[in-house]
Amino acid sequence: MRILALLSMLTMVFYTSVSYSQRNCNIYKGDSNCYKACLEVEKAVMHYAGDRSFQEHLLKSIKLCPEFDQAYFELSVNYAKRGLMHEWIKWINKAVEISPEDHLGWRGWYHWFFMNNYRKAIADIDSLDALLDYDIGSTGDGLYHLKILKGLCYKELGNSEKALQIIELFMDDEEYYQGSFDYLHLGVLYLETNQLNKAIKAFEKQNLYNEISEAYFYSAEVSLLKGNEAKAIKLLNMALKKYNEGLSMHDPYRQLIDEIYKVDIESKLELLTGKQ
Amino acid sequence: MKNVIFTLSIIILFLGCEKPLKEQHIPVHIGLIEYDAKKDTLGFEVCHEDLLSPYFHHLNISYEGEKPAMVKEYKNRFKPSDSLENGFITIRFIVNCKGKAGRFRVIQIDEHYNLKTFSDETVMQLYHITRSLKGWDIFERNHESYDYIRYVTFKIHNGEIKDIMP
Repeated sequence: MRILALLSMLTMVFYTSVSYSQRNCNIYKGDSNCYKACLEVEKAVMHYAGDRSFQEHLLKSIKLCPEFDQAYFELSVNYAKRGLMHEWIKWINKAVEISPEDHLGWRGWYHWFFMNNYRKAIADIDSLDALLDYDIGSTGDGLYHLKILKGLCYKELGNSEKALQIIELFMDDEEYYQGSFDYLHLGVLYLETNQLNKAIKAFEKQNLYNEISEAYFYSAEVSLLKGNEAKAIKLLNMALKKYNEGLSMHDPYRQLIDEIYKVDIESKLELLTGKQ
Repeated sequence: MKNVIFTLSIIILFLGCEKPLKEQHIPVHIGLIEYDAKKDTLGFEVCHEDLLSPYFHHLNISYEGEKPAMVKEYKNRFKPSDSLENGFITIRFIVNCKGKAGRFRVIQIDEHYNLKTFSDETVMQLYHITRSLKGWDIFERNHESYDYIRYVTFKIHNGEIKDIMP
């Protein structure tokens, strides 16, 4: 039973640990060492991420072809996920140095994702934007377009106006596609800048696309600001219901921007219902 | 003949020095927290040393009362230092199969992720508060409990806790 449990865990970990889409190694066939280096990365990701064999294949890849960025990248990810950012930065910097167009976005995302290092995240996203003449793409987990993330970084730096400007501009772009929580963030930004009707519309749009507890929670905030306490309580109860159903913002690695917890809803409800 | 044997011995010796990758120092697992008699106190034991994986920290394992309960502990107990220091302090540790934490390791880095040293006042407060936390969830799978590695990172700005991650 214990072995089965372990296998089940390892399988889960394996599927969540492959961090990068595999390259077609055949494109390196002109350079036999880099071709072999690419095959070593393919072997590495077949192992339990971070274990000795995984590391050995990647180090071998680097030795064979020091300019093969993917090996540095794969190593970097595994340090970051374990809270070892002083190691992460060495490996990811090397990957960025070799192939900035492939890794700047990822590095910027991780600056935010693991460290809330907003200035560095913005700098990397801007560098990538300056480098590419095509769409800079999304975060590695697909949760945000990097332009939305850039806006959110400004919000976290206390500049909600600029955040709103960046996000609205991007949402108007014909290439924009809705991300999981985009309208929730937009609504909270409207709320923070006292544009209450726009906020409500954004929360409604969020729930049409991806119904989450947070959209009800912040809608309740709007109702309170409009002086409608009864509606706020109703919305908070809805937020609690959705939270209990598992419909809320969640990421296994970190607390997301604008994410709320059960205690946030309950304490607000207690405050309001106790007051009534 | 003696010279040939001597030369061959030297060559063999040098060849022996060039260790294949497997013999170089590569940890069993990235980020594994191994027992260190100098750092680790008695009274804490991992349940499955052989199965300990640094990966399990992210598999939806939480803290009793979720993150706000943990943050409250630091907010109530941490006294900002006068040193106006900046950077990040990460405390890594193991939560064993009984939910008890141990093998604490501290990493101190600046805003660019270079290793640095914060004041003892800041580091020791965070260390002691983290050590005293009791609400770590137990990681269970198929009716069996396992150890896992967890970390908490503090973003320090002007000696104050600006953020607690993840």
